[in-house]
Amino acid sequence: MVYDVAEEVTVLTYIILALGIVIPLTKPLRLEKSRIPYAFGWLSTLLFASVSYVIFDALRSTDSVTLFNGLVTYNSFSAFMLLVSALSSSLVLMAIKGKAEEWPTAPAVYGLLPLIQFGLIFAMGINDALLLLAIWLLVSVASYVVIALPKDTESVKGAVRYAFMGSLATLFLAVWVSLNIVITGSFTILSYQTGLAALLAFGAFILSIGFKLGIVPFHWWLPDVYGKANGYSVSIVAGIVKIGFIAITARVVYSISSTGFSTIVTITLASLAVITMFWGNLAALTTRNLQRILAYSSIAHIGYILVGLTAISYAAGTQNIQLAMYSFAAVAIHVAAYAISKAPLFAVMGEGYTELDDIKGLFHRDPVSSVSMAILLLSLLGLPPLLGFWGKLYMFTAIASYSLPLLVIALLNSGISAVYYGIAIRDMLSTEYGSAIYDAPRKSSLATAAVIIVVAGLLASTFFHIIF
Amino acid sequence: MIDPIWIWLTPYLGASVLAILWILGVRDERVYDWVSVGSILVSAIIATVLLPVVYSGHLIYTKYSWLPSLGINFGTYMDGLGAFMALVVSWLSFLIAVYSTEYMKGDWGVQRYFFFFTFFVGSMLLLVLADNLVLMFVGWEGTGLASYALIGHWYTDEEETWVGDPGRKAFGTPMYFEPSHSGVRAILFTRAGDIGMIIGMALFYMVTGTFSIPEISETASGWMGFLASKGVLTAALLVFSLGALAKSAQFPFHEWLVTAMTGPTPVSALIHAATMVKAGVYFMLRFSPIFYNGAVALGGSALAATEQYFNIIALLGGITAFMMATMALVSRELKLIFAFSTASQLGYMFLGVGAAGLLTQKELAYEGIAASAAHLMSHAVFKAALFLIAGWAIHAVHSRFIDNMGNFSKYMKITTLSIWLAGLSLAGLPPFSGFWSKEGIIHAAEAAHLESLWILAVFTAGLTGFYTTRAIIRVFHMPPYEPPHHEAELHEAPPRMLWPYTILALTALVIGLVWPFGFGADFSNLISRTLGFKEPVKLAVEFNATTYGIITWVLAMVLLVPALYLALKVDFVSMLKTSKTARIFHAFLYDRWYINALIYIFIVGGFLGIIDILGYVDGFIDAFYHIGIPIAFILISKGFRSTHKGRPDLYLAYYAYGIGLLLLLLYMIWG
Repeated sequence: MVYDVAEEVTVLTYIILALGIVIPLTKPLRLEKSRIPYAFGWLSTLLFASVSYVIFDALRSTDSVTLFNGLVTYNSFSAFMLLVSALSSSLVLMAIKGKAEEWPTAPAVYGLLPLIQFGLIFAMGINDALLLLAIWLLVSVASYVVIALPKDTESVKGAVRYAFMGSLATLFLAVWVSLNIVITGSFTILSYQTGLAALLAFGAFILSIGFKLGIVPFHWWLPDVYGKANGYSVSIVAGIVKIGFIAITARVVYSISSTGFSTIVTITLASLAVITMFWGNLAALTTRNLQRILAYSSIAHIGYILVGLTAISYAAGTQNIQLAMYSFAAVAIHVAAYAISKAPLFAVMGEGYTELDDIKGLFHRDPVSSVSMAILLLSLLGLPPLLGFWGKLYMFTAIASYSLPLLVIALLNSGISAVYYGIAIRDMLSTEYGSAIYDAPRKSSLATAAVIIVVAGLLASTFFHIIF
Repeated sequence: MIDPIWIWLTPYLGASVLAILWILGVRDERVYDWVSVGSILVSAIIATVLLPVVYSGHLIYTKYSWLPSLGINFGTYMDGLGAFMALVVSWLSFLIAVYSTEYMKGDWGVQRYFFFFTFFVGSMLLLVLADNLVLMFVGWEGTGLASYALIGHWYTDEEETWVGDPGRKAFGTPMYFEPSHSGVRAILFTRAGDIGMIIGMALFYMVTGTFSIPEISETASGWMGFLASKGVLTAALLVFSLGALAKSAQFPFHEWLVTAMTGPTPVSALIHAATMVKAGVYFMLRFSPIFYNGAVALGGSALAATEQYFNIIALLGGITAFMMATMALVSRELKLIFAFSTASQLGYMFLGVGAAGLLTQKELAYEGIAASAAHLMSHAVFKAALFLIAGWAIHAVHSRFIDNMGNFSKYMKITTLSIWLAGLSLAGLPPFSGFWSKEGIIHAAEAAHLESLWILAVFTAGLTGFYTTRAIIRVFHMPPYEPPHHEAELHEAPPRMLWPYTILALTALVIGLVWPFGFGADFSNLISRTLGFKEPVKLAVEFNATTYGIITWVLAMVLLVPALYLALKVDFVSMLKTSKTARIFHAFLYDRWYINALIYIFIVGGFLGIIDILGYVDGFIDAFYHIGIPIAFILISKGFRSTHKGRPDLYLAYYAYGIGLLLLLLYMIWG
């Protein structure tokens, strides 16, 4: 007997949506600078986490949970991704405490967070192309606005470029949706055909999702937004929103490759993975701006995730369900490591200490923050036994059965990334003193994330087998 | 019965205790004396206690697992040869350790000295008792390490610790050597041979699947037949024996032993005369019966290949024996005379083994091998005595040159007696021990019909008598050519130095005296218990016309020395000044046949040339890694980042290029 969670999930989801409408009402009530919007943000996140947990719990007794009249289907992969976004939402909220209230746009960010979470609940398990377009628009627009909210020049400029490029990407997503309907005669994305139209549809999908995730050469907005806009807003886009789009990509890739298109998809993803990894890692090498390093390393990490997606595509094409599940789980672990590290790291960039010179000697002034940052950076590098190591390990072992050269390139890129992560850590240990100093909310966010990265790293194989 | 593993483990434990004491800050040298001497004494006692067991025909063999995957054990294999070597090594080490406690008293590195000394003894005993090649190699390299450390003991390189005349050059190559230089020479020369040994070990493992020496022995005809069928048996055996040739300073590896004399004299006595340089001989004694039996069982091409191998060994031994003896004739340094003599006597032992391997009659072959073992023992005893006396002589006049020594017989009667006993044994005159063993070797060469080598060996025996007597007469019975620079301490050595060499010198005599009355037979019986010996050995010297002829020849050469120096008072120094021919001849011998210079010019120089060439290559590689790659990465990195100028119009264009690129990619894959 399958435990029916539809009612609970539906109710919780709509409460989250309602919060998105209720929170802005604190403005006319002149409560925008109070703690109430922040508390609502936590409430939304708790409800979001509850939805994730309910679905995850239901999946103990069944392989998949289908909700909203078949519009969304969750499996252990999507449920885990939901949990991860709930976790990164919490880390962002911890870090942002007392900051968003100071923005002229307060309490908008707390109002947008529930909308994003509402969108993510659908995005993770999406089956329907039209709904995908709708969710895309909802989350994208929310993201553009979030970036602009601090209203400083760089944030506003970044938001404009983001929206500008985003409109083009949305256009290609619409092309994909329409071709999808033309080819399959239905709105569902889980059936696909071969043929030129299907090829073009896949191309359109890559063009749109390539923009969203920052796949080279469709990533042009990303260094401007991630690297220059206010760190608090970036942490929401990079640490929460991105997870949903990775989940969508994984699902779409798997469904396309299962139905006869796998060679093209696999080679395309592999090629994009190579240039994305190299671009991100090499560009990060020579900058002395930590936020810019994090931005480029986000590109590099999408490259690694593309390696995992390549493995999914290959597994789907060869009908190797075991390898496919393995690769899904590998991507999930890597995304978890990425989001949990990046959310607080970007958030503390919001304090304005974005240069490596600012964090010089941080170890001597603020050992908790600096050690936590170091752990997060080392996890991004993939140092055992941190969580980031396991993500890379599982993804790279998955790809080994497809292409050893790709595996070697991925390892090589991990090696290159050691340079800039190493420089950042060395600067924190320096005896020269920069100006960066972090107060309790920032510190606690970093430390919590570091503890999670270490503990989860030690338990990684348990998590892996839950998803696998 | 006590486990024989303690024979080699005890000195190792002693060395470990010394290392720990050093770390704990203990510097009192008496503690080091006691631990070192004590642990070696325990080892010697165990070796002695176990000897009768082996003598009575029981093999003592214990094993503890070490690397099960390769079948390697901590196996202690005590057969006749192992028991004999353990006995000789441990007791000599004990006596020399006692001597060292006096000789090294107050030395600034005495703690380090005793650590390496004890470590050496453990390694040497492990070497001779190991049941497998890997464990033997561990001991082998342990002795090499200790030898390196002790040759360079006085690594601050003061001039009085050098070997050779300061400033002397041959073909532009310096012929004087500091301790630190000599240490490196020793390790490089012996390492060159050890590479061959490792290759040989790997080869044996490939063809036999085992490192165990008894198993290699059992399967000898199998793997030797296989190697012979591939036509590589001679080469394989030679490569395997390279380590032994280098360790025992056989031509062309002999140079390291000469300069090893920079080490403290007890080290020269123990390592570079009595024990470590015998490791190569031990190796030959251990393996030649195995090779011999295998070849004889197989016959045909395997036998021919093995005979070729033994021929080469005999030839190298004969050449070394002669060459080094000629160098000893002219040397001015007491220790160097004995060092040349050591290499020369080791040459005899190789000649003995090589000749034995060529004998078709099994009992004669085993006899030849046993004769080499006997010479190993007698040489160890008398040469240790000679070196220990040299140590006192050098100490007494504070000079290593015999020109500064003289008339010692007036001041030290016991020492004079001792050096004559040991020296005549080296000369090989009856009834001293050296006579019986050397006679055995010469007899083997004769039996193997190696006429030219036999003549060389007999001639060299005369040279040996000459240079030994020359050294004794010059130092003990003639006034010095030049007075010593420091005030000489001309009196008997202190008891802890005097007794060890007196005991050793008397032993050389006693062994010789009892040899024909049962000791030779007992010794033969013990050696018969060795792995691979299939017949009982009977080592006996036949006195015939040849024997008497050789004795007469050696005696004549011994007597020639006092005749020239004391009766005729020939002035060799002014002869060198007046005669050009004499000078050329003298320089040829004094500069060691120019072999050292040739090695430096061609081999070292050749490698230096290669190093220069590689230096350029390395420079390019270095520049590539440290300049090329970083610059390339910086340029690429900056190039990538320069595309992000914050201009949406450019981004749009790039995005469009991206679309084109993607379509192209899809088209290519699609096509």
